[in-house]
Amino acid sequence: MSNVIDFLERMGASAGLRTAGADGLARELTAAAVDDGLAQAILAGDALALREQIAPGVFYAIQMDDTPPDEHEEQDDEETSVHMRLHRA
Amino acid sequence: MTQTRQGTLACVGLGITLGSHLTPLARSHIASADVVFAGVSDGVVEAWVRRMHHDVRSLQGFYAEGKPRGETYREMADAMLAEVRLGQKVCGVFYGHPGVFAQAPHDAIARARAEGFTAIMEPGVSSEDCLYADLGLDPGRVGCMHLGATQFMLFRRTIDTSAWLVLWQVGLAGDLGEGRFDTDPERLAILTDVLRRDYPADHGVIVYQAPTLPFEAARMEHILLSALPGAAIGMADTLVVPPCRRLAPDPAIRARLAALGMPSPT
Ligand SMILES: C[S@@+](CC[C@H](N)C(=O)[O-])C[C@H]1O[C@@H](n2cnc3c(N)ncnc32)[C@H](O)[C@@H]1O
Repeated sequence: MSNVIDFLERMGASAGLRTAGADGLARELTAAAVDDGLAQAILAGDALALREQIAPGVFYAIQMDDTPPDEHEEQDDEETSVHMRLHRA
Repeated sequence: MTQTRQGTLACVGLGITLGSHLTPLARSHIASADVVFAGVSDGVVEAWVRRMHHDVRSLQGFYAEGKPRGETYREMADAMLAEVRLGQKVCGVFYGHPGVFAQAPHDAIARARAEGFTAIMEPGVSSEDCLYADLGLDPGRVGCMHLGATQFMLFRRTIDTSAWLVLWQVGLAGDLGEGRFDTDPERLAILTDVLRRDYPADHGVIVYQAPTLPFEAARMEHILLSALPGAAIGMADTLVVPPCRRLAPDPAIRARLAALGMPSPT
């Protein structure tokens, strides 16, 4: 599996690989000895299939509670209070 | 036992697309840390972070359906701070920019500093940066306002419809702190009603998602505002609302400026 991650890292950093087209990409995947199932997913542009094989399950992308600060008054929202202070100054 | 080394905290960004956006400085913070915490949105990306350090601890375990998100983010900060207090050199790696719509890095840094530790944030390439590139949108042209979708729904905001409006976390629009990680047509219909106060029903909006893996294409789905309730929108999507009116000139200010004339040569 490690070589597919290395391949993706290399692809992410390479202008040539990111625009290689299917044939060029297929050649590179073969040269890097990426497993067939993983290579097929990459060639098909199927991120879901790749994730299923490498890291199945839910990954949460949410990192912020946007129910806003005044609904959590007990916590002093640092950013808001700093801005208020600046505003008053 | 006396502590010989004081702990430090660096929260760094990983960028959005695997392999494309990681800065040399962020990579160096990861490599030189004693322990790395990963707050990333994708299992393949997390596997990539694991290749950069032997002790990478995922922050994913703190999430749970139905759990108040504030609690999740507090626990993430707690986990990082516990290691800082033990004298460790801690690196928190967050996808995109660690300080853009991300609570735990800001909180952990503020708390670490309050306790006398050195704590820093290093920027990363945000989905906002990808959005400008993919959609050919320059926020300097007519301006651009960024809001959390749920915050936009819960509060009366003044929207300038001559500027762009970008709504984040639209994939859980309308969550009242119940700890949901999705939205549905009913909630999106209410979001549409809020947008309809300022925009016509046939206004075109864009559902945007930058590629996380380097072989993916960006999602740039142009739909009518009236079709928003039926759109399939996930956690990583952002809603982009173009302006619906021209900039309105301000004749009084123009006249005042014109009256100043050219500076006279000295
Ligand atoms: C918790 S925020 C984190 C943003 C991240 N810190 C950044 O700099 O992009 C999550 C929200 O960011 C936006 N987002 C995350 N990944 C994205 C992507 N690949 N493309 C577009 N927007 C994305 C979405 O609005 C999503 O709901």
